[in-house]
Amino acid sequence: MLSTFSKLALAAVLTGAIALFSFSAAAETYAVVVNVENSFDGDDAAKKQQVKRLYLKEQSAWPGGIAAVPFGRADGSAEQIAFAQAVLQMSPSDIEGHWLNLKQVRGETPPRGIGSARILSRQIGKTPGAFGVVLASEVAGVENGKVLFEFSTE
Amino acid sequence: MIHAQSRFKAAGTNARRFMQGAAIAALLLAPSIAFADGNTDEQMAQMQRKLDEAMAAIQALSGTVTALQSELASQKQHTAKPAANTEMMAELDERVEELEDVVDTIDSRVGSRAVANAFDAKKLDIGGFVDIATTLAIGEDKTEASFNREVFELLIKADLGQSWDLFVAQAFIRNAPLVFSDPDGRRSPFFSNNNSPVVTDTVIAWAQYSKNDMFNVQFGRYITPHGIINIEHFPANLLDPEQPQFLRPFPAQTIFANFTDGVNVHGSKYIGNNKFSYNAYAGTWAGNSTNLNVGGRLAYSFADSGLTFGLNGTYGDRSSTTDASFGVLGADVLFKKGRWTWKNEVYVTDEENAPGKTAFYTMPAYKLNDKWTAFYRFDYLDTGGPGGESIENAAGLTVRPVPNVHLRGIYRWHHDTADAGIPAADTHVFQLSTTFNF
Repeated sequence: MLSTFSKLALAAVLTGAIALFSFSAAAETYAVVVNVENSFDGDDAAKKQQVKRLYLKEQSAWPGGIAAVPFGRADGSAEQIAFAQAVLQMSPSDIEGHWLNLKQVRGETPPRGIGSARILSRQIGKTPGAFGVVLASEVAGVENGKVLFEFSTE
Repeated sequence: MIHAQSRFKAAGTNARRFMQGAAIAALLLAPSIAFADGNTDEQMAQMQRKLDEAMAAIQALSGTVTALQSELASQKQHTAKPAANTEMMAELDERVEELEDVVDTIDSRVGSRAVANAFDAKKLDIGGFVDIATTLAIGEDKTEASFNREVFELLIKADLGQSWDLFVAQAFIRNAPLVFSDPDGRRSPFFSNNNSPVVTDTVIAWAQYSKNDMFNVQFGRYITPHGIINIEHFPANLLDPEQPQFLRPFPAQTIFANFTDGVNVHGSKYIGNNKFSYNAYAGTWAGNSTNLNVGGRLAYSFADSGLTFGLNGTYGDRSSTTDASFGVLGADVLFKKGRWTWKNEVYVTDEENAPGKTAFYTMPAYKLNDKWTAFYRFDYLDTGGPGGESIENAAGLTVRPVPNVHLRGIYRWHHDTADAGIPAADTHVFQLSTTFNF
């Protein structure tokens, strides 16, 4: 027979294991996808930095000279939240402040947010400088596109 | 499906066997019945009936077998790729749902209303803001309160295509100024601000040609590109909508003009993680249209440390009627990292036929959470003229309950030092303001 302490310890371990499993299961992998003609390359940190600058409209063209056409995802979508956390590394209020500033000073607006992964894929496929984020499992549906880098949420 | 096919096949085989058996039985039975005892007509008729029945059964069974074979063939044809068809249907359903969502979103935005089109622009964005302030000022002379500022400003950006775009900010301002008896406005918390009751001002109106990030040319009326706060400029961006003293009165040229009409060449380039940016401009000011003023700004941002250093300089003439050439040198440091934003600017001027001016402020701000921010600003200005130095200490708390609404509560202690026979003066200002942008 197990002692009360042993039972409690066992329960704690099991609970922890279930929680850990649930946490791991919730993690999702995303991919930033670009048009197949985009030749930009580098390590993941450089790619993230470049995508961040282009998305925030601090730069307007890829290093190769192609005009950047950034796309976001629908507000509040899992993809957009993950992108903000992992790539932009900004809080929602920081992002709002950034766009507010650009709107007032330069008349810039945030990139168009696209809800449908298929519509986003079509845009990326037909526009050389376009990029956007999709679930890694949706990458196969992007015609004329390729993965620039992948990232995971925790 | 395989099971069903087997069943049909078995049924066909059994029917065929039954027909063969019935035919053989009928042929065998026919002569034996024919030559049986009696050979009566009645027997012959009976045999004929049975034969007819057997033939009818054969024909019926033959028809059944044909129908079953036809059905089996049809089933084979229709069930050639059942899995692929189901998958395709599911995908089509999903796509139709997506399209319906998109159509629904567009319909909710447009509905039966008219869609506005730009005459010539490829893309047109319209927005703006409303800024309202109510102020209580306790001064040396008296105490006054007023809803003193209401600003509606329209922002329009048009993409003209072929690397050209256009940006306009048109302001409609209604002032209800607090009135103080000091003739120089020195004791006014607004430092002789533009207190005309109604002001309509084209704050910005520039067209821009963009070659690339490093080379852009603005033509028209633009914000004079010096420092930090003058470039941010709009109340929606600012923690304290009362800009530092060197930018007041608004618009004027206490140190440099808030706005310039002319040409501004600007650009930026990333060097590794760091960013270099520049401005070089030439233009005239309102009230000084005959003198060309030139100036520029260089800035370098260190991404890792969150620091940006800027150098500013301008040279020109303050008046088109008298000799009043001047030069300005300034520096600014911005620290922006994590919850901290710390702005600092300092300027000194060299004036022809007038004393030099000095201005400085430091403004740390701390983001308490995603909505609340606290700040403090020490602001010093010495215009060199009679009236001494002006010092302000301002502390405020701002909140954005939603991204488009900015509410602020600010306390400001404005102190003028004694100078040239004019006594020192203090004013305590409490201001509530809000900016709604759209």
